[in-house]
Amino acid sequence: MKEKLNSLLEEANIALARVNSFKELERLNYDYLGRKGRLSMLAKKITDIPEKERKECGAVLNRVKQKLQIAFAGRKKQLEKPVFPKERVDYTLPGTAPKLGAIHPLTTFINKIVSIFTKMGFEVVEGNEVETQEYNFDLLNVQKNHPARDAQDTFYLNNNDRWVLRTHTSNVQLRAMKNRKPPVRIISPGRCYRNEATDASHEATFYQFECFAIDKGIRLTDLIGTLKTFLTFLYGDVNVRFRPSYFPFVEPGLEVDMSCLICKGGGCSVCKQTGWLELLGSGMIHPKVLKNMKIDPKIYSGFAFGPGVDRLMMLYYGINDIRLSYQGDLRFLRQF
Amino acid sequence: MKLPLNWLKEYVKFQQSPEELANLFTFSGSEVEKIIYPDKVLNSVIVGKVLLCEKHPNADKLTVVKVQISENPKKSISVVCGAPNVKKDQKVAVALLGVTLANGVTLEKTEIRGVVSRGMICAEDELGIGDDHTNVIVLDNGARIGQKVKSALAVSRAVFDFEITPNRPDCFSIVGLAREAAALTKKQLILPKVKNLPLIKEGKEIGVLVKDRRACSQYIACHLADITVSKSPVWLETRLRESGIKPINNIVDITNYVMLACGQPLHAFDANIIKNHKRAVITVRKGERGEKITLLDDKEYALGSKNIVIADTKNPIAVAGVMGGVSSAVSSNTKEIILEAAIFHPVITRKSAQSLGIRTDSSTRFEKGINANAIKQAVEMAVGLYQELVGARLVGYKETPVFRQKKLKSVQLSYQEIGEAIGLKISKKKIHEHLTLLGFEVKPVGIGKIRVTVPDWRLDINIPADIIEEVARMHGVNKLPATNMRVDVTVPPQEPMRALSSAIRNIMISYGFYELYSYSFYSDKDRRGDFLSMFCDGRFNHLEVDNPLSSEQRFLRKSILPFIMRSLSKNIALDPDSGIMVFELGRIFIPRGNKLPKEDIITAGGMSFAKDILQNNLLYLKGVVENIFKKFGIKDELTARSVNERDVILEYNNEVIATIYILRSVERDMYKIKKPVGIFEISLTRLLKIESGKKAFHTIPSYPAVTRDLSFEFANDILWGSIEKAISSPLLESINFLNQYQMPNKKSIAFRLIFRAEDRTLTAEEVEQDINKIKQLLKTKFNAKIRRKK
Repeated sequence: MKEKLNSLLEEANIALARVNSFKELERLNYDYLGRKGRLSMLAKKITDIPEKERKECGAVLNRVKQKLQIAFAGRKKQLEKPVFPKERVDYTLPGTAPKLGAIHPLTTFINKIVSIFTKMGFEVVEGNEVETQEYNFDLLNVQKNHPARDAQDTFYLNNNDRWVLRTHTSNVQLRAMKNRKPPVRIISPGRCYRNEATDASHEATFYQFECFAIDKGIRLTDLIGTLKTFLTFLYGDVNVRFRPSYFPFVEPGLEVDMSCLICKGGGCSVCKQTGWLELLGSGMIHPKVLKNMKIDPKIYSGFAFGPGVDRLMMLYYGINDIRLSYQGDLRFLRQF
Repeated sequence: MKLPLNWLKEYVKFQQSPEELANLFTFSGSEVEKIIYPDKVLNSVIVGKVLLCEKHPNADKLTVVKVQISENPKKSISVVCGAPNVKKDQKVAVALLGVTLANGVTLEKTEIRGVVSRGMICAEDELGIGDDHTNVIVLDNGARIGQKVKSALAVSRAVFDFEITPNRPDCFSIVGLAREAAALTKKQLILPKVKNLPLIKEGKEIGVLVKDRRACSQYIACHLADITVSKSPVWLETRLRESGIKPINNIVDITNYVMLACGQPLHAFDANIIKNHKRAVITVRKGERGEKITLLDDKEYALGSKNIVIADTKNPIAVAGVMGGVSSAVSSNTKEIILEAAIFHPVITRKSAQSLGIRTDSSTRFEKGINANAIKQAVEMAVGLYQELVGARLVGYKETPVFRQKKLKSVQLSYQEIGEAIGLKISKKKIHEHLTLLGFEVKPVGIGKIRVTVPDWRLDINIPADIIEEVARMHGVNKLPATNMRVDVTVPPQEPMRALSSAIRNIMISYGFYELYSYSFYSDKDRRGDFLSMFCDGRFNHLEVDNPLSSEQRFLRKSILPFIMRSLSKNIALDPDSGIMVFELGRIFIPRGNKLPKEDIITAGGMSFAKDILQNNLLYLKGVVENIFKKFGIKDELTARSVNERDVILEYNNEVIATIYILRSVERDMYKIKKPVGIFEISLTRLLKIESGKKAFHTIPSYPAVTRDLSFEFANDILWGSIEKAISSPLLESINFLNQYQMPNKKSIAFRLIFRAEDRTLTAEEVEQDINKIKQLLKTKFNAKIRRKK
């Protein structure tokens, strides 16, 4: 009896859900709750039940009746409401989650570079930006009368006439080797300064990363290999070429060009119609510099290079003004 | 450095095209930045002869010129010309109607003040060979009428513009570049023919006195007579122009020509300087305070001990190695000259030129260093040209002994060393060939070893690495294989600051902050301002740039906040309807007396708020900052204090680690910020010291918690922090602030207490007991009144 009542309730609910008009509802109401309806029919059978259970069955019967009445009334109310079509969602509206900010493209780019070199076993070292002339120039074999030391190229500090704002990250070569012994592979990204008038392609503040390795038997071809690996990771399939050049802290020195990313070597204004971009200076660490690190150049050799990050980053994103990075302008920052 | 190719061809008979040759140079280390081809106009402009010059009837400064333009004397045109130097019988460059000049103008028949002009007699600029617009080009008399002006001018097929690296001063000469070209193309070098100087017996002896022999290690003076100052032959003028030097007259042009050819600067004085004295003495000495000289640029300069001067018996007549003086200049009346060739010290010359603010072709060559052994050849070449082109006669000669003559250098190294350093085995034969082509002498010494003798023009070669570079560049560095460094298995240690910075940046952007980069310098106003970092003290104790780009960039920042403020201001103005959130992670510079400054790493940021509700805004930013610390497992150890109830200062072990501040409207006005804003800074340098990096895991509790929400009324001056601190019970797991609202003269604070035991389910009685104790405590300690029980 109890089971029958419960399944009646279930059936009624299912039927109710399918009802879509008052007429149908009325008939269903008659079927279930009418004088000769299914519930009445069941109720009549209550007398067949043994006395012990009759009371309990009666209670169930009343509860089911109540529930049915509520359900019918509810459905009636629903049918009285104006009929809406199925709820629609405009999935093309913008999402409403909190907006994310963004990391500066120079940070992103430095991270990219660092991750390439850490995969190659390079250790990241931080360097200082206020530096002595000794570490910025002398120990790097930049002679006292070298034009790079002119006040029109280097920022000097009033507080101490031996201090400069480092003009490159190469000071880290010497700083890092104060408490390390070869073999080492080190990368050190950081901010550098040069006293020059700024324009779309020149900034007095810029980023470089120093990259160097010292070990027994490091060869010029290792430098070439490392640079090719790095540039391929960074830009994909690019052509790289090497030219002899001169930097006081290396010997031999190599200038590295990469096929222009903008015109793919065809010639454009970015590469001054040459199809090539001058990327960076590199070379084998000068024996004098190794000696300044207290490393015997007869036993060890090493390579070093220190490209500017700003330019590599600008080429990557196609940014045409180096100064944009330092203006704190959200119209720029929001694009990354 | 510019290299006209037909000048080069005189010294090296190369077969390559200009482009091929440029590549050879570039890939061996002498970079050809640009190949300059002669202007097309030179193919259409022809040689003409001036038949007649008449004054223009209606203009004082114009001439009407009749020019013959073909070998047929009847073929002539009439041209109106403005140049003052046009004269009858001159051979000139004539552009006929329809010709497009170097400046883009196409000639048409025109009428100039009533006279018809059917062409143009060209100046340098119109032919694209120089800047001069005043005078027309005058060609050699031998030029054939009607011939293309390109051949009459002896214009080069191409001119290379080099970027010469500072280690190769020898390449600052045509001969030096020819040596490279000869080695690269494997052709013989044909040096300009020079005659040995004749022994001088006749004439007046020139006295030369070098007082500072370190500054001037050798001085040669030649007395040349029978001089006629005039224009140089066209081929010489063209070579000078193509090399970027303006032709002046035959005397000066020859000094410049020889300087370009050999790299040895020369100077010609009018010989009056010695004629006026009984016994001529040229003195090389230091400048004296109070001495003045007017140089050839017509400016007067005050001299001092930084300058080395050439003086007659009394007065300076030139600044050594830099520029000659007006008093001894060659003029159109000069009949005799003294030709000077000398070796001046690089650094002394540089400082001398710098002190006067002048750079000349001469001073740059001395600065870079010149080959002292080549001075004789330069003098011989110059004297030869004076004899040949000017008809001069050498009548006096003086040569001082060389001060500290340099011996040829030599370097020893092994073949193996070369191969190992480069990473490629290069055969002994090839090594010999490469080095010999460059002028090195290679001698085997012992097994597998060589002694390489360095030619005197290679000032840059001193150590084995230099020789290795020579071999590598002759082999072609671009042809070298790429290798991988031999394996090194150690895992590099982490730089903790990088990891911390990276984590902070990621947290910041997840809140919607944009990272910005600003400059490391700020102005005096910023230095004195109210937005200095809490992480350093002393407004005025800043590092100061001695030579800043502008006064706005004079001081090294001790705070990032001024930049944050400017960025907020700018971005709010640009986009007033959006929330602006920015931060920077960078360095501040804290002076430490004689030690290099402390460079602390700071994160500073700021954001705008839609509404100006102090507490809400302050707590929002406080939440951002606290969450950062939470991320690194630091929360309960921090204490908060406030100075003015617009700020929160978070401290760890009594050291400030972060600050949050909501700006007053007057402070916003200072930066023209048009919205409520708050700022914060966190010292990452300090955070790094305490950050453990690890979070301890607590077992997930196995027994349920009992939660009770309570609400009390407190007096306004009671802070939540003190309430939170006061409440304690062994069963209490945590206290969570729920909300607070203001009532007249008091405030209501609601909070949630969570009780839990690790080993059992708490009974209602236990909890109730604790809660009663807490209620009692709040009543007695804070005079709190319970509001309701949730």
